[in-house]
Amino acid sequence: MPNQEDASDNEMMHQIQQGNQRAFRQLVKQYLNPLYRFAHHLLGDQMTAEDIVQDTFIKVWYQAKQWQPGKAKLSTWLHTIVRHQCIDSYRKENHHTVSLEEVEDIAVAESADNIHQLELAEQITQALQQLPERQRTAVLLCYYQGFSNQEAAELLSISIEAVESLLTRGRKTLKRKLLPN
Amino acid sequence: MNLERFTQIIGAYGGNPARWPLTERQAALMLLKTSMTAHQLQQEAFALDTVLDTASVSLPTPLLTARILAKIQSRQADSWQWLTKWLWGTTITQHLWRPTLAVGLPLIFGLGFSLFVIQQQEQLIQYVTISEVTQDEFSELLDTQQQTLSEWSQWL
Repeated sequence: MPNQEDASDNEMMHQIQQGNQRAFRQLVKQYLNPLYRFAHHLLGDQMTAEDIVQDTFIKVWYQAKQWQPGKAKLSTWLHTIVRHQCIDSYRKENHHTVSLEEVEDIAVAESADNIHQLELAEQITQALQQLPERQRTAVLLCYYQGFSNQEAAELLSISIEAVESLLTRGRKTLKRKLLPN
Repeated sequence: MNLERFTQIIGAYGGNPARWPLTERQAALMLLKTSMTAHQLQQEAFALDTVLDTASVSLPTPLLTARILAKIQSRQADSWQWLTKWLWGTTITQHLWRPTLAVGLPLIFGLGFSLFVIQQQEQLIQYVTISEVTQDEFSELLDTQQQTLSEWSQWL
């Protein structure tokens, strides 16, 4: 059943389909950070994540008429576009995740605590990167992006049970890598 | 809700009830209140959750929004720029014949079409005139023949 958020998204997309740039700016403001987080977690690379998010919004502007209200939530549609672009990008290039040395070079003035945080964050990124793509996507959607299991199932075109299976296996692997003791 | 299903929920979604399936959340919370095993499972899940929660992703560069907005505007400008460039051309010769062609071609087409229409009209008028003449001649012939028939009938 469509709720207030869906109605607001529908209206925003309708305006964008009419070429309303103000509505498009609103869309970017609302979804830039979540989509960037998603792309960044999927790829582990900031620059590529930004390029993908940029391309996603450009695509939305020029192909806005492809979105049909009621067919899928706007958030699901946007994340699907990002995911497909990330998959394409990942297949084209061998992604280079930032090594610990590079991270420490960048964070020269950081305190020991911050360096430890950076190392941990890097370990988590690497562990996520090592998950199979569908497990990684399921974990990112449900854990970091706030998707419900049903929304994640729609995006991945699988059942809710299959989503839970992906999540369970993903978390088991992450636990093994990040909490070995 | 039983312990088996609770274990599956914890295994998939972690220890934070906010991430549990909405339809089962209340039942799971009830079980949590009454079961020590469920409570222990939740605590174990929190260990991984705490680690995962530290994976904070830096925000995108502040200029990303501006780049996106500039891109959609530059593409629109690009279409006009392309058309203007093509019309004007790049060499001196192109400066002459391209705009001339752009203006001249529709003009020539318009003139040609008008002439064709006029010609067709004239032919139609001629045809109508010929038809009228033929019709008049035929009527005269008919009258003559009718007269002859009348004369014959009188004679009979």
